[in-house]
Amino acid sequence: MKRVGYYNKLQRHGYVFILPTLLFFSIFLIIPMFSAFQLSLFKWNLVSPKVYVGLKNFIKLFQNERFWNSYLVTLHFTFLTVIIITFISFWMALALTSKLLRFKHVLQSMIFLPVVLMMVPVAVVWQFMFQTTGLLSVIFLNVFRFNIPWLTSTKITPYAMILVYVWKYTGFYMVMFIAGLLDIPEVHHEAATIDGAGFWARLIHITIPQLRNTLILVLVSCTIFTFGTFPLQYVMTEGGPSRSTEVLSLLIYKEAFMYTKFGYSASISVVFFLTLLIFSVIQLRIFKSGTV
Amino acid sequence: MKRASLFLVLLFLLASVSCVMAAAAEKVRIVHIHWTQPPYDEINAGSAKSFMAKYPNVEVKLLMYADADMPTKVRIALAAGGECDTFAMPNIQSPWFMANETVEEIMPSAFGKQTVQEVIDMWEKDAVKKTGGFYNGVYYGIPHEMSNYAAWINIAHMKEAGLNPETDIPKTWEEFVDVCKKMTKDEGGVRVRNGFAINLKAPVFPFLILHSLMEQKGLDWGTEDGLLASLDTKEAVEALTTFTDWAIKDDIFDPGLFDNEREGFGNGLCSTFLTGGTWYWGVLDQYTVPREDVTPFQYPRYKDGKDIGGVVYGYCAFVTKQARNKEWAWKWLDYLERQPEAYIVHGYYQPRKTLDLALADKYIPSNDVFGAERRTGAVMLASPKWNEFQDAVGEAVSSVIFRGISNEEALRRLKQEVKSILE
Repeated sequence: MKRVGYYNKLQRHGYVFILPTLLFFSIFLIIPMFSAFQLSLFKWNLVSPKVYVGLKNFIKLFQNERFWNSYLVTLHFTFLTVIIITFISFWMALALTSKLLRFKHVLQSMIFLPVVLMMVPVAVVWQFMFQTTGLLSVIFLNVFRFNIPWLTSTKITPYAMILVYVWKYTGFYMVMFIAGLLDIPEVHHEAATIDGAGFWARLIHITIPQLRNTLILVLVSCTIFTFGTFPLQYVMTEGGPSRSTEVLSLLIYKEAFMYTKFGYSASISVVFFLTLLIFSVIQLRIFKSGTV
Repeated sequence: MKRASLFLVLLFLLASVSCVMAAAAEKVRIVHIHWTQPPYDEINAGSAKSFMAKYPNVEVKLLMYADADMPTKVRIALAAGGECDTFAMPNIQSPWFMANETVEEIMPSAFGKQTVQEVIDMWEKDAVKKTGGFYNGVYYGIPHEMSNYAAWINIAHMKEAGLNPETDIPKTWEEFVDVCKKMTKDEGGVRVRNGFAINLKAPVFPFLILHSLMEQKGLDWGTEDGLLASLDTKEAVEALTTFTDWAIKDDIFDPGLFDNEREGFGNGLCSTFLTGGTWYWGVLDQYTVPREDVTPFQYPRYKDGKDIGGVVYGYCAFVTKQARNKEWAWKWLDYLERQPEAYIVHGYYQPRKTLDLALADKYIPSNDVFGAERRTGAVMLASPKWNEFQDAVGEAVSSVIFRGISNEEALRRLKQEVKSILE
């Protein structure tokens, strides 16, 4: 009896400790989120009276070519970016936890450095590098004898965006993988090596299964953050050329703050939220993990 | 006795404090939102100060915001019922505020006039319309600034290309392409200088150029109906083709070289551009190309087209519906907008009739060009959905240049989008 009472008391203290955070999230996250759900059922331009339109915003949305273009652009960007970032950051983490590599800390810091930079200056600098006379263009011209229209082709610019995003965030996920790899007891690898397991066998049967939770965390968080990309496209292309990089967040921003269609914009946000919810549930189901 | 004295002192103090508070409460407070732009900020601040000195019962508080942020800031202030009695707004954004009934009609009595027309007559002909103070038959705003886009050319590049800056300034779009072709420069297969440039990243710029081209072709882009009706005409195809050919056929414009044409022109990376106003002289000073190497010139015309120049743009000042004292708010705006001689020193043109036009010639280099273009300039599309229209037009231009679709198809899609916006 005494023991339960103690834990109850402890739990009550716990609630007190999380109360400030809970209040903060309620005011700045949860309440606005529910407001957005409510707003998606209205027609409103900030100064007009709110007019209830039911599901009309959603009907209009699903009939709108621009929304679907934006949705596909975002899916394409997210899908490729998540795969590339996961792959590269995993292999970098493996390399940087290997005993064979020297100057690991220097390399790790260099790879992580872009993560701490703000996206806006990063986008501006990359924009200069992508220009016809920019560094990347000059390198391509001198080495491969051709110039790439990095920011002026609807076929290439989406990949230029992915390139910058991957460069910026790979270091972040690499650190997550390093933390996961360091958690794997060394004895497992040693035992497997004694049993004659090679690099690939150890990777497939020991490393990857034991990294499952880290992998889920990387996939879920990378998907969520990538799907919500905004400053990169806003600064570098403003969604162009010809809306080929107009991601959903950018469309939400334009519909709300440029066209003052706040209800319609909120309906895109709701679809955005539901998509991410579905992604996350699917990812968690696939890995059947309740621990993340 | 002591108690009585103390009571009297307290009573005196209370009465004094009450009087001061009452005086403060009686003071008319006007909050004015303006975009920030040195050196004009100082003139605006000086106006507020001298207005308050003249009328001690009025307090004017100026809030300065970046031009691009201003519409959103004003909208939020109005939506939240915040302090916003008067504000300035560009003519591309002002129709939204007028259409949504957030601003007051002009109050003639505040200007010491009997009718609105008498107030309008205080400015140049059509100045209120061109600067965005007129919507749906009603006058809401008074002009703060009026300017227009002219074409600019680098005469050093002209000489380098064997052209004569005295005689070879282009007058038609055909000549424009020929001159630009001669000034375009490639090195080792790489474009290092554009003959012409425009910022396609921001749809407003292609919109402005196409607006003028369409009007020169005799189409009406000043109204929503006119815009919609123009889109399936052969003249519209010709105008759009003129524009897109600069990038895809004439090859005088490689969008990959840089984004900002004002910056590119200032650094000698392009030889002409079409979106510089009288203020560009000051902007140019920040870059490497010296003033003597450039000159503005009138927009080229179509041989068989109308004599219409670049789009006229401007700013009007408005009194909000929620203004606490509307008469004083209008009086303040009248005071702010009656000193064109203070602004013209910095090349800033206020179209008030009291302006001595000799000052414009004195302080605005090449004012003959700007003056002529102001008179023939196209009137900006007045629509509360202007942002959506410019975005749709920008997309039409981009889809031809970047996706390779035909001009006809781009206009067909534009028409669909314009219809959808109007619905």
